[in-house]
Amino acid sequence: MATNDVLRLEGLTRSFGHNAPAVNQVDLRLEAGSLFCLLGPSGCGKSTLLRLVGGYLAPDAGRVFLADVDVNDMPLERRNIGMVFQNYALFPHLTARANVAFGLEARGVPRSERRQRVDAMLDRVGLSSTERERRPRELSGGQQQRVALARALVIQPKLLLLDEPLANLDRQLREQMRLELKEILRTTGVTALLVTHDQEEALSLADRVGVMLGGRLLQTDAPRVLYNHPRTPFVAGFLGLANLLRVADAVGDMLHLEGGLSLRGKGTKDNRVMIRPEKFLLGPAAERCPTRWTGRVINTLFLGAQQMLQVAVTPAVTVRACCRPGEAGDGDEVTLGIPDDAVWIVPGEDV
Amino acid sequence: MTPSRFRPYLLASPAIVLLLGFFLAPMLQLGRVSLYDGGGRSGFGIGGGGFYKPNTWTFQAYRTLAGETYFREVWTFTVLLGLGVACITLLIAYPLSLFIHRLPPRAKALALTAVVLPKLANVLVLIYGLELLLSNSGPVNGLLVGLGAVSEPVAFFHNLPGVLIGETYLILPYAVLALVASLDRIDPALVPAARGLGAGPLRVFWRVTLPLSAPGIALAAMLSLIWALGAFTGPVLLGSPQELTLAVEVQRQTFENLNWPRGAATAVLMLVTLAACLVLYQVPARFLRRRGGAP
Amino acid sequence: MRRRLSVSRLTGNIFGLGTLLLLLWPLAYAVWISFTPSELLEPPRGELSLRWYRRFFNSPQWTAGVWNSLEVAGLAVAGSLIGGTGLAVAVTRHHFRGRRLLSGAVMLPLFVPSVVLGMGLLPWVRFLGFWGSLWSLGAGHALWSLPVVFLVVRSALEELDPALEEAARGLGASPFLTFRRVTLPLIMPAVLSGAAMGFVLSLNEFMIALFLATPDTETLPKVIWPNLRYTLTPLVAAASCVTMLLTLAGLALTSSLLRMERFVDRLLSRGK
Repeated sequence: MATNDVLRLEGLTRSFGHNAPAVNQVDLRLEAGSLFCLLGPSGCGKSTLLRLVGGYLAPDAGRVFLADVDVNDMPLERRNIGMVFQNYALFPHLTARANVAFGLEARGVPRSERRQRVDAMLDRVGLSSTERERRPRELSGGQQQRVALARALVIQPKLLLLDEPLANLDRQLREQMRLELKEILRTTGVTALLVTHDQEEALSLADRVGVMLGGRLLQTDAPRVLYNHPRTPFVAGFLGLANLLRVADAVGDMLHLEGGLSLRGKGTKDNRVMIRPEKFLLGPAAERCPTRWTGRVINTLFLGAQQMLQVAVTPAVTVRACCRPGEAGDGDEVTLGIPDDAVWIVPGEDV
Repeated sequence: MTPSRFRPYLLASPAIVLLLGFFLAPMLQLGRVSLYDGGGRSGFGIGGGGFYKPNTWTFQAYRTLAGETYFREVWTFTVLLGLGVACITLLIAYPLSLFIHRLPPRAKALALTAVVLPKLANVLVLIYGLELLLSNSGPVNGLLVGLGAVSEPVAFFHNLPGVLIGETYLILPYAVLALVASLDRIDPALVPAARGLGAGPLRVFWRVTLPLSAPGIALAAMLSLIWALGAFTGPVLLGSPQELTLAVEVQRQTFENLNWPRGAATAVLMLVTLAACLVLYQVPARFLRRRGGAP
Repeated sequence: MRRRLSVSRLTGNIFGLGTLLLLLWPLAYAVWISFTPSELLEPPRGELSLRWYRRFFNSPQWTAGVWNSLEVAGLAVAGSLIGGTGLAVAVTRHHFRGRRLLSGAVMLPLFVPSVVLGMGLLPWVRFLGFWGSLWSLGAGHALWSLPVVFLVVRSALEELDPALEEAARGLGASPFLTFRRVTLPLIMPAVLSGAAMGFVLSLNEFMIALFLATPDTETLPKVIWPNLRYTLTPLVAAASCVTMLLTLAGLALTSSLLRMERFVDRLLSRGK
């Protein structure tokens, strides 16, 4: 069965010792040219999954297919998968150029072609010619990152794995490198699988994102879908901020929530209702909404472009809502308007 | 390419050959020789046996040793000497290590070099240097006589003090290395932290530094004991015929009395003694390690 | 309070410095004596003389001792490097039956008094027909340097980021190429310092030599031994200084090899 899938995982499982499986029954397909991002808190099994794909670990059960070929028994040096390690794993005794040339050398690429390909790749990642002769410890974090990327890409891998590639950079550089990384991956057209715990990174880089928890893939979707329509409470909470309220009772079109709140929507008892803080409307706009909650602001956080309010809508329930800076202050009584499309009933549970 | 199942064994094989062929086999051979009948004189250079009657099985050598006051005295002296040297070594090594530990980095490197340097030199060179130093015409006696502290030169060797000085001198570097390493491993923030809580320097030493360096003390004591129990050069070169240790006994039986079974039996008993000491030693060692925060 | 502290510090410093000096003093004194022009064991007065060194190098017995020592040390270093490095790689990079047993067993020779080892080796080596060859001495000395090399190389391998070897494999390098191009260059300093320690150990070892050496295979310490026991002349001081020089030369050689290795590495990477 020929498909367009560069990578296919079927029931991949791996445990360490007698602990619960670090990766549990994971199925996944990656189309050629796509950028997939595995997102999850630390310890969720995302790095283990990456290592299973790369062949750095052997699975207990399940299969890994690369371009429809079962590679379970293929040693990692024959898989032709590029990998960017979290700490870059640059060879400290080799110059940047020799680091990048390493994979070609191992493949027996003749010297002149090697040189040409290495230079072309280093041009692409933007490493200057003097930096090319330096050793890793003489390079800055960002430069090391470029070398690691070039080293993984120059072998023209079928698949590129990136393990928290930006985690070691400070915030400003991280944002710049994120843009560059996206550009480089797009122009090389390589299929990439990226692991991160940073939801912002996942949402901004990937075509599709898979959220992992406890070794399982909870949901795999495009970033927008994940954000607006999470299928489990964990996904809802892990991507961005979410107000999650449990449904106490559902009567016709009305949902009665815990703490005595109610709003219009369809769901069943014990479903979770998600409302993103920025979906609340304040002021005159609130008056036009079908559902309105009023409450007192008990805390405010100034976030620059926005202001985050903590609003006690009942004695037991506090929600977070966004507004323009200065629109409301501590102790103010506010009315939160809830448009129908702001309400998402989370259909599933975390396993 | 070898299958990866065999690769570790292939990699380890030179070491295994060396250990089996030149460690395990000689140790077994030692046990075998100790069970031969003595008195054979097949001599050196002729293939086969040495100074024993091959292919005999007897406990004669052990029986002889067990019934001898001479051997008992040698054994007792060796064990007491070992314990004594280990204690003296620790008593000198701990303050010295504390001193080195507190030195600034460059001076510390220099001091550690000074400690290790004697170990880079031959044991014999060291003993020789000590002999020169402590001889009747040497500088130490020159100083003592010159100061009027003694009327005539003190005999520092060919007696027990000589043996103690010599063996302590040989073992001290190992103890210092172990102790400095353990002192360096203590979190440097702990001492100012304890001082900040109002503890005086002495209390800090008793309550923080000393207990945390306890594992190092345990290791240093063990190393000292092992080395002191095998004492050979010190007793031979700096001692008198009264200062006989088991190691000297082994060598004498082998080369002077040409009674190999007896030499081998002595060596076996020496190993047993060493093993017993190490086992008994686990009691204080465990206590010390626990004081140092080990589980 | 402050006063008491500084007084106790002062006594501590005096004790420390004094002990260090005492540790070094016999060595220094032996060197000093070796330059005496006198027939007797006394420090040179006024003039220094090399007569005892001339005596040393004109004596076939002493010079043969030097060569034998070097040859034995070479064999011991070669043996322990191959054995120790191989075992360290096996233990740190593979899981196999007997892994823990081997890591423990390799340390055992350090715990056995050398006289016991010598006593055991003598009949065994004679049984093997090895007696009187430098090989037997080299093998005996390798038992001491083996655990040293093993420990040093193992800790270097354990400190090595495992991701480096994984990265090399992932880039298409076979296990052998990975070892040659990545692992070995990175643990080279440890290998060389292990070799240096093994060399020094062997050069200065005399217990096993006492048991195994024949008149044809006497190492330098074995030649020194009877001289030290029965005839004390400044010649022994000169001989001691020669062994120290050989030791220092061995250490200098390995440290310069380290620098050389870095230099060659830099040259090679320039060429790419």
